[in-house]
Amino acid sequence: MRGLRAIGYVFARGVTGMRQSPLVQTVAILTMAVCILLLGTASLLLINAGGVVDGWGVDVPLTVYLDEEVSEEDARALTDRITVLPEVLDAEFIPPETALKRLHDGLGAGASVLDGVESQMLPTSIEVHVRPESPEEFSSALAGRLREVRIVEEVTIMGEWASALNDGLSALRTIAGTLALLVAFACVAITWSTIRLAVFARRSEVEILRLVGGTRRFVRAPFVIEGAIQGILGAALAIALLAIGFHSLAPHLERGLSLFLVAGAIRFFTVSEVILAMGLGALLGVIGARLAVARYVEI
Amino acid sequence: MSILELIDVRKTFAARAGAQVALDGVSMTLERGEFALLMGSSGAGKSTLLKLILALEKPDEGSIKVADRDVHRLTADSVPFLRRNLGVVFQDFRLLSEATPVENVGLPLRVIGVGANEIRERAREVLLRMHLDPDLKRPVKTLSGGEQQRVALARALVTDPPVLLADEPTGNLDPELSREILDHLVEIQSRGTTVMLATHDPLVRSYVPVTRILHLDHGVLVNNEVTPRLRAISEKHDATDAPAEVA
Repeated sequence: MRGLRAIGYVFARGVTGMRQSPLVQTVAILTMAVCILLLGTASLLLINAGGVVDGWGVDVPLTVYLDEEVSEEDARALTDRITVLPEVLDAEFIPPETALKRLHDGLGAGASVLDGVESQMLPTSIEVHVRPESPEEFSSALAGRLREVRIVEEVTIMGEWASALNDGLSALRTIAGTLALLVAFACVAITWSTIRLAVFARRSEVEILRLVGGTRRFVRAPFVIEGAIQGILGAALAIALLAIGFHSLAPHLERGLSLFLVAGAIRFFTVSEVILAMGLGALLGVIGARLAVARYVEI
Repeated sequence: MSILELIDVRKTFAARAGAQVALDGVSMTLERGEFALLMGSSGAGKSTLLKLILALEKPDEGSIKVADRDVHRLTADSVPFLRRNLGVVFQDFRLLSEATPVENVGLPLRVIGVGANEIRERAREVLLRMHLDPDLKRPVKTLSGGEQQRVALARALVTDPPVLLADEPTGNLDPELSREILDHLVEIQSRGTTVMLATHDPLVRSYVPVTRILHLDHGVLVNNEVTPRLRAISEKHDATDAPAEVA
């Protein structure tokens, strides 16, 4: 019970401490928000670039288009024959109805252009995923063999196109990762600096708490709580700004992407991602504050 | 039985002109319930000695024992528990200037997690003992020097520590307020608390019925004079009390 009371006091003291220097706290929170905003923008770009690439189907290395007269029985038999190949991860039979639905989804708001289009107008196909450990030349060898099958009309290999896009995505991931590290460092430095100022501003209080027998944790905790609150508020502000920006731009982006048949591929952060971002903000604030109090608050 | 023991304590501070000796081979013992006067001019080492007892500084050599515990062998986590047994007042009061008297006095109790009602009750009790209005809702910075020092005394006593260290507590006060504070210190000692009062004012000696006079000169303990009052104190404590627990 005594421990809980002490925690209550320490938490209240952390909040009161923030109120004592509103200008410094506001500047710190705004600076953290700008940093997290940069990282959030890069993360959103990464997430949505991945979604767009997936929408284009570049993750499907091989697509086998079948003759329009083919029976479903023959198409499924060929799918089964491909699936059993040891180099193949899986092969999925895509009937015309599924293809039409995908096209419809890809057009998003512009899907009305498909009004009156019958599924039979689209080809039956098989999507083949090759095991990553398979030899590089396997896809082209398999495509060559499949082209000789009577019911196969065309085989497309995403090979180089997919590889270029994946390279682009990798580069984006590297940039986002580097930015994440820089932002983490910046957030820690901002909190460290603000908490250092707070320690100097309240040095007589720290001295008094030491004299009356305040433990290391008791004296330092209010500053750490300040750091955590700064991180949470900075992250919340960044996410709010990102949400406003995203929802203003999203309709325009959707229209543009529908031209490339990938409408609906972009999204904002999920609730769990938002919670994770706030948690990360708090963690960075705690790290910065702990480093500052370890250096400037002696017991 | 001794409550405080210093054995051959030496402390130096780095200075531009080389190491400055603040305390040089100081040894002394205080029995429980004593009222010791630590005298010496400014810079004699009085405050350094009190800081060493409070573990705010570390000695270069020697040992300091409070209730038989070597202060400087305590772990960093144990030091706060030592300080909870040492009440302390300073010339500059060291109060939370924006807080009320009750909030200031209750601080040592907050640190150990005492509930708000009990804090209020105990703080009021000790403020009344110091002849202060416990219902004052003003920040302590608006109080007079004498009132602030009494708030500081109340804060030092609210946990009933076995030892009270007072570093020039009357240094900022006029003679009348100084006598008031000294009367409080005498009253505190009469209740069994060991008091060590550091002062450079020789008049204090004639006003306070002390048991021991310690005189520091340039860091050296040049006088450790026991007064006849010590015998009475020792007999009283030997007959009645159990050892004090520290840390």
